[in-house]
Amino acid sequence: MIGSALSTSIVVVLLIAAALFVIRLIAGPTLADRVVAMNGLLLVGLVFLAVQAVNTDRNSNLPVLVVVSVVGFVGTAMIARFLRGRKL
Amino acid sequence: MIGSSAALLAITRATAGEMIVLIGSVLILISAIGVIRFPDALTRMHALSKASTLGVSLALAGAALAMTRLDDVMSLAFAAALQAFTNPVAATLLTRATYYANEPAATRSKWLRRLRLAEDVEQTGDDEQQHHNGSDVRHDSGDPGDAPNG
Repeated sequence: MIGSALSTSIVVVLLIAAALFVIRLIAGPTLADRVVAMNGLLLVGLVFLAVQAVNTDRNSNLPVLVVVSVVGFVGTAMIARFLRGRKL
Repeated sequence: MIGSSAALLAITRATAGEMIVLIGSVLILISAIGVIRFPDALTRMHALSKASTLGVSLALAGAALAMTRLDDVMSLAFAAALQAFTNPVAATLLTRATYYANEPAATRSKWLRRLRLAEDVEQTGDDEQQHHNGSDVRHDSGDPGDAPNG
């Protein structure tokens, strides 16, 4: 019962954070703001996958978590390379 | 008796792990509020990189504490370590690219960049000093000519 209340509150907090990141993703004036919001959404999805893996006690999407970490880092580094020397 | 004690330990460990995940989620929420409310792209990156790195690392470590099998624990701990090491590097790359975004390609040398960064830091220090002097002058403007200028 305590675990159910805890997981529900975790999901609510993550959904509020995802809504705020989506607002910044839509309303961000520059490309860098949108990259920041996209990175935050990626982190929210990562924590959501981990919470779901804990709740259902199923380990089939834990490699997805590691791969998403690496792909997020490589994507941010690529966008930083793309952004350099370009007018915002 | 021993089985009951082990079950109690497992429930306690799962609850502690979920609590740590909740703390990490609250840190991510705090970084989202910072991303919404800060006025500039660089300050938004500041909010996201610090609070959210700690939040994701805590959340994945708490999930690793709540899982039972060893391969799940190692996978989650590896993801947490990966986030904790790569997220500041990515934030630094993006911040540098944003800071030097508007300069033309001909002036891209390392020493010019360092010079410009030093000039910016010095200029903000002068702005704070001038702001301080202005508030002083505005404060005791009741008797002009008495305040030492500079």
